[in-house]
Amino acid sequence: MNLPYPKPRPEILIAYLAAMATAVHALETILPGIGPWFKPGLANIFTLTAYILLGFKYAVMVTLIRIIVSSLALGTFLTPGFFLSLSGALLALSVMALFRYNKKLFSVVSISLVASLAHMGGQILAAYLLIFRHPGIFQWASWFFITAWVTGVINGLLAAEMIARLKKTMHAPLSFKK
Amino acid sequence: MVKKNFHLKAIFLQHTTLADRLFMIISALLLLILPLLHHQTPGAWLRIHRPGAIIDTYALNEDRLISVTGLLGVVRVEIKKNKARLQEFRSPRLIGTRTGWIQHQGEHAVCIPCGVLIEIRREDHDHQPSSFDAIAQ
Repeated sequence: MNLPYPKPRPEILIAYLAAMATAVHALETILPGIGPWFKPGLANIFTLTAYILLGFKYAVMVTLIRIIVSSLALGTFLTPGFFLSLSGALLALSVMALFRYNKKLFSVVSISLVASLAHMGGQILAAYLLIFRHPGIFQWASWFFITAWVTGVINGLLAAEMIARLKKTMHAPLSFKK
Repeated sequence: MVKKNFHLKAIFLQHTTLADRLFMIISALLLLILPLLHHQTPGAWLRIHRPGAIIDTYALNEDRLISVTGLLGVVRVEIKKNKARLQEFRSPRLIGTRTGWIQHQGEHAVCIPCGVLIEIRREDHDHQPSSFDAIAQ
């Protein structure tokens, strides 16, 4: 294969993806949201990219780096919000692993969708189990899941487009055509 | 002129399979049914919770401002014209505040990081004489 540069090592790509995910995660927290239940969750695009391009192990690494570094930067490390974020991310990763990536049946968009729903479900469940053992926690769950559906599809499409472009860049033969 | 190559429909069709689209439609329909299951009855009491404990219960027909010390500092609970709302100031997403006014039985506003939940109730069994009788027995 003719590459115009050395083939990127996984560690380098992880560093880029983790840095981008952390920055986006922190920005989303600082910027005002659209509504009470809506959070874009754009950082998941980078987790999905790591999962598809590099594998599950690397997706876990990107996620953990994102959660720990952004919480340290925002001063929320080991607060209830940190544990909710961690619980959601771990459940999303587990569902991603179960929802086996099969190009012929389901694309990255479906993986993003189930991961987004699982992320939301994980956070609500953790809030119930760790903080408030009150059924009121589940009252707004349906609205949270609806917004998670929307963001899951949008992020899935963005991730699919990013993966396609990265694959082209990573495997493009050297060309001098203008 | 640069050719525009970002078409949402094309991207959607390019990156999704038939199974994806079916999965999206079915999951969306299931999720849209859930909110319709809620029924709304006006409430009469407001109960304030913190993790593992009930702070107090207040009548909704008496306007008042209550300050509650949560995990992230003071949280304000306002009762006005048979409605109530939660106002937190230091939580990251301010979900409790953004929930706005609540007034129907079973409605809640919660700030998870603050550890404060408010709940609208139709009846307050703790303030009923029968409850005290039961304890006395």
